[in-house]
Amino acid sequence: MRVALTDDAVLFREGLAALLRELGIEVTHQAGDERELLDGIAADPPDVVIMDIRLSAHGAEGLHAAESIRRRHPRVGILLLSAYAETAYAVRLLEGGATGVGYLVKDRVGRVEVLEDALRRVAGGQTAIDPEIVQRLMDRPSRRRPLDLLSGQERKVLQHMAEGRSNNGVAEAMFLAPKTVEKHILSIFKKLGLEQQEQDNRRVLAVLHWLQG
Amino acid sequence: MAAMASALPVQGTSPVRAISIVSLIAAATAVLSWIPTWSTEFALGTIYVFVVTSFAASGVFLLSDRSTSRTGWAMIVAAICYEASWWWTWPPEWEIGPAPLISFLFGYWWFAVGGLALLRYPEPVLSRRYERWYFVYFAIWVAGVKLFIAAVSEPEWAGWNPDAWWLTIAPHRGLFDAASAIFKVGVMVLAVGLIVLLLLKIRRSRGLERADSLPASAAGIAIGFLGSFYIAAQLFHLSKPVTDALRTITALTALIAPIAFLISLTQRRLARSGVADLVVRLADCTSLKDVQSALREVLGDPTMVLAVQASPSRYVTCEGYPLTEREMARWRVPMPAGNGRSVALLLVDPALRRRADLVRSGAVAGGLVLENGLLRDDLAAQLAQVQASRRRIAEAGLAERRRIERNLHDGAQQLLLRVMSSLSLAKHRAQRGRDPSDAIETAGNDLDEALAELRNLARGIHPAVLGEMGLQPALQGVADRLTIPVTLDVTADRLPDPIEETLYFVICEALTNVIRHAGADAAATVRVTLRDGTVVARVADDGRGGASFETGSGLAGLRDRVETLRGDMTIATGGDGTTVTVRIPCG
Repeated sequence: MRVALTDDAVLFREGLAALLRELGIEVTHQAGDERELLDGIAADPPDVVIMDIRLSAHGAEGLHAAESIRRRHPRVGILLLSAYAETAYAVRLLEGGATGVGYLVKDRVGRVEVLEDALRRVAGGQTAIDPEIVQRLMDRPSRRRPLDLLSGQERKVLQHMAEGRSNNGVAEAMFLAPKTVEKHILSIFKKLGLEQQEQDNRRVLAVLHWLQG
Repeated sequence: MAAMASALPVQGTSPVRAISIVSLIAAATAVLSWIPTWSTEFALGTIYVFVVTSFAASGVFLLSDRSTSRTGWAMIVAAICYEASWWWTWPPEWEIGPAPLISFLFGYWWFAVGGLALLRYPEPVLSRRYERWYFVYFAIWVAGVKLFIAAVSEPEWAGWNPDAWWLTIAPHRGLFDAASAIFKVGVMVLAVGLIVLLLLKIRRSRGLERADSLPASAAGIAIGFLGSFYIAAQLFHLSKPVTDALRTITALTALIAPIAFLISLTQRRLARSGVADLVVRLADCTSLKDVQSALREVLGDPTMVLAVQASPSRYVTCEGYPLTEREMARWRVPMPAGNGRSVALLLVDPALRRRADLVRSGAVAGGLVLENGLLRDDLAAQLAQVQASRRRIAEAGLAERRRIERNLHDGAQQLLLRVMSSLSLAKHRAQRGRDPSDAIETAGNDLDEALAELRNLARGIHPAVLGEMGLQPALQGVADRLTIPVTLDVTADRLPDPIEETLYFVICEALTNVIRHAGADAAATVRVTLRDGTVVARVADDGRGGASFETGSGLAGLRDRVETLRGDMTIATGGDGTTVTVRIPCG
């Protein structure tokens, strides 16, 4: 896999690059801002761009950069990193199109398997949403969301769906047969009154919206 | 003397005529009662006539004011008793009928009733329970013991005509002598008690109240003091010239009482006419502060505060400072505007409640003036300034939070994240049997750096040493970290927390400015001194100069903080350097 890195904090960027190389991932390009990044992608398109959501002192420019990349290089996956686990960022990112995008909290550099898994999913055109965000949404008490209608197994399936996994991905993660997972998903959508989505990626957004209440 | 009562004025009629009539009657009766003694004791007689006349006259004078009429009656009774107390000077042929007994029984009452008048003045009643008990004992002693003495004696033992009316029941010479002596000792104790009560009263009174009651209290103390000397002289049978001299002096002191009443009544009249002056003075006021000082002067309360409304629920002083708790706890007198609402509040010493009429008149007069154009503009300008300053403080707080978040995000957080990725790397290498020590070392160095970042940031938010040790050690720490030489001369006294904190940040900002503007070879001096309840901080450098509130950005925000503490900040700059001076009252 080939990855381009963008972060205005050089220290962190270099640390992450060293880690990725160790994992056998090729780092094609390191950039400090949006312009450098776009130039780098144009010269040598990577599979995935890892990008800090905050590229300057002002705010969430990463979201803007993500839109530009998607427009010009639709086949490049985008994994946004943020110091904060904010649902609003994730939803905003998914609304621009949920194919090959991901949103992770920077702390995941401490859990190589989560980082790797997310990178592979984004590179494969799927979605990866930070487990912390999903967990928080699921734990949030709300009367309008009859989550307690779901069985324990169904909740886990819902959680994996919200993190952006496909049916097969859920089956792998839970060590279940794909058929069983499909049955669970059917039941969840019925219980929650959600419309079935053909595409896995649009399903993520629907589930997140539903969880947001 | 009985005729005097009928000549008393009805309230509201001219006091001058009533006073003349009563004085004339009092003087005439006193002159007559001294007839047998004029040839031998002319000087004492003159004093006697003066005391009786002035007691009666001041009593009538006090009657003319509703709030002092009870004191007036007390003075008239005291005049009558005083007159009777001297009938012992009569020759035997005058000492007939009930006169000796009246003189014997009621002679000392002038002292009791007069003392009562002095102690409670200018209130119509005694304000303390112990003062009331004191007069109950006084009355029992003067009436009860005298009756007992009369019952166990013959009139001639007390120096009267043997044929005078008396209350003899069981005459006993020894008992009479002992009771007489005990009576005198008792009166002395009571005289000392009166002095103590008057001193206590002076101590607890304040402002106008003290000005009102001080002359009367002083008179009471003088009378009590000399009276007890005189009685002591009698008791110890001192030589006749000494006793006579003391008697004369005591009689003279009695004259102080009416004079005292005259003084304080005149003062009150003047204060009331002060409200009329106030209206005139207020017309010349061009600022809220002028109005405040005019009111302070007229009401005799130098700590009075004119408070204006900054928001529906919040008042500030007329200079725009927040009110202290002590100020809030004062007596709040609204200053009414024409539309029935109040434009401002007067926060007045609660002791002035007694002069509510005067205070309210002042508040109304002040309120009318505040309604006028010029001052209304001043009021509006003041409030706009207050609100602008509050907004700047709020904005500065917000900017400060953003800065802290930014620092955390860019500094310590990034370093810690790199620690995390280094540790991931180390773990990954170790799992594959490769050497992880490089990655671990990087992680360790990054942790060191992150800790240093966090410490610096924490110091920027609030240096721990400031709260724990004070301004001096905290500034020493700052100076140690700077690249320019800094001379410190800082008071070791601890100041209130908000003041210490504000001064710390002002001085840090001023020193930062020195480094930024004054040039690399500049040196700075920091002086913080505490004198007369005001702390003065001065940061001076010998650089190029040129700092101001505009260019020295951080100082403008800090000036608001200084002003919130009722202080001020100035910058003086020129070719030979810049001096930033901050003054904050801390009392």
